Amino acid sequence: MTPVVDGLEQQYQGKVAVRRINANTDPTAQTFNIRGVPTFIFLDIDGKEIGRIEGGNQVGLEAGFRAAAKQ
Amino acid sequence: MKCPDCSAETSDMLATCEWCGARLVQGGPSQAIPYAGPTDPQTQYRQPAYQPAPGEIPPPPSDASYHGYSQRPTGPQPKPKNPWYATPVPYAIAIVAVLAIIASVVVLHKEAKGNTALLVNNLPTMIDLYTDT
Repeated sequence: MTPVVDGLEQQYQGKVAVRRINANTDPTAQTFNIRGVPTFIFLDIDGKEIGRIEGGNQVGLEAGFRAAAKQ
Repeated sequence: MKCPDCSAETSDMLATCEWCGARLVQGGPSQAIPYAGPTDPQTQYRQPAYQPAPGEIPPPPSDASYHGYSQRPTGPQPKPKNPWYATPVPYAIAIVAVLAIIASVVVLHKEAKGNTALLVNNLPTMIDLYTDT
């Protein structure tokens, strides 16, 4: 999924930022209560979770970027 | 049954004759309580019992006295000693329930606020949780 995420990051540059967290080493991952990887979590400008995609779902990922860009 | 003292029909549910007050003995000859007569005319006066004439049928007693209901206590019924509203337990439960509701509202409000520390450049942010393997 890395090429897809990189492409969407470029496409939505200045509108939606991407933060990569290693679920095995970064303790921040525990705050999200994830059930598996990869997991993509979208936050609005208040830091509130507005969507979550579990697994490699390219269509869902694109929809998540679109929704986050409208925030 | 028939009173042996005044020969009137009286209730066999009572220990004494309704008409003359004589003691009734169930299943055997009764003994009338001897009337001692008034010793003090002011306080001890007793109205003479009704004596039916021979062959006269005495009037039936009232239902209440006949069934012994007249001896039912008429005073106020005793209240329960320890009603639920006099114990502190229900009030303690209510206070704990209210505190639990307030705590849950506070926690939900905190969670709804979100965490802006995870944002990048104050933009809507996608968190990519990955693994090396």
